[in-house]
Amino acid sequence: MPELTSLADAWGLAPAVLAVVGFGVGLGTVFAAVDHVVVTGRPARGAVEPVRGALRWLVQQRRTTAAPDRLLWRIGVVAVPVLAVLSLAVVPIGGRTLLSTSADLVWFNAMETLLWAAVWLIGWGPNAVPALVGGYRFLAQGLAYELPLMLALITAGLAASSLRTTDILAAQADLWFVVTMPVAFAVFLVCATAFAFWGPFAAPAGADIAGGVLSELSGVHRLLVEAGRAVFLGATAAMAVTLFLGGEAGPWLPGPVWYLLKIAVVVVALVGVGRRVPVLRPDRFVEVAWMVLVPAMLVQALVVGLLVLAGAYR
Amino acid sequence: MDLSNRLRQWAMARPRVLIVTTAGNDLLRWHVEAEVARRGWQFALSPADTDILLTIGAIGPELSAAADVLWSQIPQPRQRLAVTGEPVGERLEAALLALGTSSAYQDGDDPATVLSRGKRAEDLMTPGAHGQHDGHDMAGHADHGATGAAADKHAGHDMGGHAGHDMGGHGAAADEHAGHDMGGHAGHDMGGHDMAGHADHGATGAAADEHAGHDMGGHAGHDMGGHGAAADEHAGHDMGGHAGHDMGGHGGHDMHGGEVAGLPMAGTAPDRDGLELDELKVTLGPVLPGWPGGLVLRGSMQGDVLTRVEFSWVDDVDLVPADPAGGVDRRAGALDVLTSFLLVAGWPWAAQQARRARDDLVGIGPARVDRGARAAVVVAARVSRSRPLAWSVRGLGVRGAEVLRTPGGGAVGDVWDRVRRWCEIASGAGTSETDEELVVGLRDLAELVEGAELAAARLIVASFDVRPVPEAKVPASAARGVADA
Repeated sequence: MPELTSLADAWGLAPAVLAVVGFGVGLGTVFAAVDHVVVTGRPARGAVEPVRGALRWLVQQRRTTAAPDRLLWRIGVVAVPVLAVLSLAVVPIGGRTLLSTSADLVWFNAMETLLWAAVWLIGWGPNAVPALVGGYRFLAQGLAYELPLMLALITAGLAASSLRTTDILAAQADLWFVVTMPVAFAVFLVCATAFAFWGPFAAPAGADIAGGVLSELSGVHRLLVEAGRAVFLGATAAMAVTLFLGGEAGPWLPGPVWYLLKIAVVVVALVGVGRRVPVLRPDRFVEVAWMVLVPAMLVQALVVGLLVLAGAYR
Repeated sequence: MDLSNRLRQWAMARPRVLIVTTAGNDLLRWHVEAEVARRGWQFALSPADTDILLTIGAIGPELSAAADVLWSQIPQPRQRLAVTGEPVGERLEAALLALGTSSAYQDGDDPATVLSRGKRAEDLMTPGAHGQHDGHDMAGHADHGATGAAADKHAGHDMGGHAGHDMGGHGAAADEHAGHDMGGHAGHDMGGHDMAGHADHGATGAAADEHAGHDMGGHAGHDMGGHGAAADEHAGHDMGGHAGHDMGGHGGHDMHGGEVAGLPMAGTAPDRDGLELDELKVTLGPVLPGWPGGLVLRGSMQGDVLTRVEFSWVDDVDLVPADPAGGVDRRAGALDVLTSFLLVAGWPWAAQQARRARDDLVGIGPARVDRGARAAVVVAARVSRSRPLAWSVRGLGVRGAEVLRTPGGGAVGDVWDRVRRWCEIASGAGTSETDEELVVGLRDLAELVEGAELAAARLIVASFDVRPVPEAKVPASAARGVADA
């Protein structure tokens, strides 16, 4: 296996960062477009609506509330897209990652965990009831999804005997991980949807609390948070392809085409299923997470561990 | 310049609409919503997300005031539109055009200023107007003496930790307790050192009967004399330093110290388990997505648990016999309820399908009505078969003392049970006798919502067809609520 350098080493830091940001924005736009098409059932218009929506938020006035915690609010708003792009730093693009650390999976998980703080601050900042309730709902949801998500990430690392995403890709040269760890794949997607508080896990931004954490955001603030959320969901799809679906592996077509194709399939599947399910209330989901998902993931990790000992991944 | 204008118009070409209306305008509202949806516009969830504020039908002074507050909360560019009849489409198009002109950028009041200045902002609270601090240790009471409606907003002195004195603050006006079972307060320790702190709302004249129903017997040894008469007392003071003191001495304190930007701060009160928790006075409605237009919920929130809940209609519409439910298509009415419910339940995709079916069902032309009828059957089947939805909402809002299990695993008379009945009606299979279970009086509704989490409370309200009906017409279960009061 040739020694892979990071994107930053290969292209220089600035172009590499730009490439990752562009990739992230592209992924987020695709996700938002697919989401819009599925929700409204207007395929022709769906593709341009995210662009129009973004422009609308740019035109719109920013607003404030009575006695907000302005600093913390702003920090939360800016943190969401920044964390989304940072989480992409360890997702391979063209076989290379922006950063190559020995603990890529931990990095990805860390970015997602910092999102707890960011979303809660967005709920806290405006000094308003619906937003605050939304912020607390996100924390409750976090208690449910965090552990299964960590176990799902670790299981992929376990099979590859490395936490580096490029190593995990290399380990799937013969067999995609989804074959031996379907539970981890499904749990990863479920939990990723939960940390992006989207679809069935949109309770923190629920219509019953007038949009929750999003309820007081307008203009560019709203754009930053919505974009960050979409980029996170796009990054999730890319990470799922990397960890479980063999990344660029595939016959006939060039690697990058396979990669984008797989991402598109994951996005469509995620939106198609996610929008056909109502919100799972956090207080009820937490029971499922702890009583079903965590044990299922432990069994999955055990099976993968035994396969590692049997030499199945070499 | 021309390019930027055109870009702006393109950006605003699919505006988001916030609808302000009351019960009784259903047919007009459906027509407007159909026109809005047909243009690919969307419905806003909060003022921050709104481009066009749309009032439908004739609205009273209270709701107008609420709409004014909402308007102050909407970011520019924005347009305001009142629709009272045809031509709806042309009015909408005109508003859209105006959204691209300078009239959409007129100087308005700064939202924060309006919130601080106007007491109305607190009385008729809408999503954008909930600006209250939470999590503070100081008891904070705003002086709402100026407005009559504000009287029932006071409660919650933080006196919990003061030298063993458990002082539940019941600073509520008399009407807040109407219809409440006072047994709800029995959970907290009334023995020995308990003191109930009552704010006096002189402007409403309600203070006289305010103490009715409270057991004052346990207050021996404390001079409570200063409380009844002293209006606006105790606010914002750290009562910790006054432990063991004569409470009468606090009557002279000025209460404005407990405000932040003109908004009252949260205090504490015993929660549903009798623990002292932060308490925030909240108001839901009269304008809220998926909420009966004009309905107002006033209550206390501890965490996200609602207590001391009371419902009312703005502008006293319950005194005016509204357009009866029988006047509109029952199936379309059921789909309307389902639309709101599915929105509240966080299933926008299904909500949209229900709304489209409703719009077709009341549309013009037999082909369209046929299509609506078929779509109604499809969406009703999809909703009533949804296991995640059943799992998420069953067991909430159970009516009646006896809990009977249904074959589906829910309880008779819970939210899920009612949703399936609505689905039956929507698909044309319902019988007329199911109706009584689906209508609720405000007192009954308050009883069902008492002690529920905010999410559950919203689902419970959305599972009913809540509309102003003269109390006499409300079925037997509601009459019981009157007797309790």
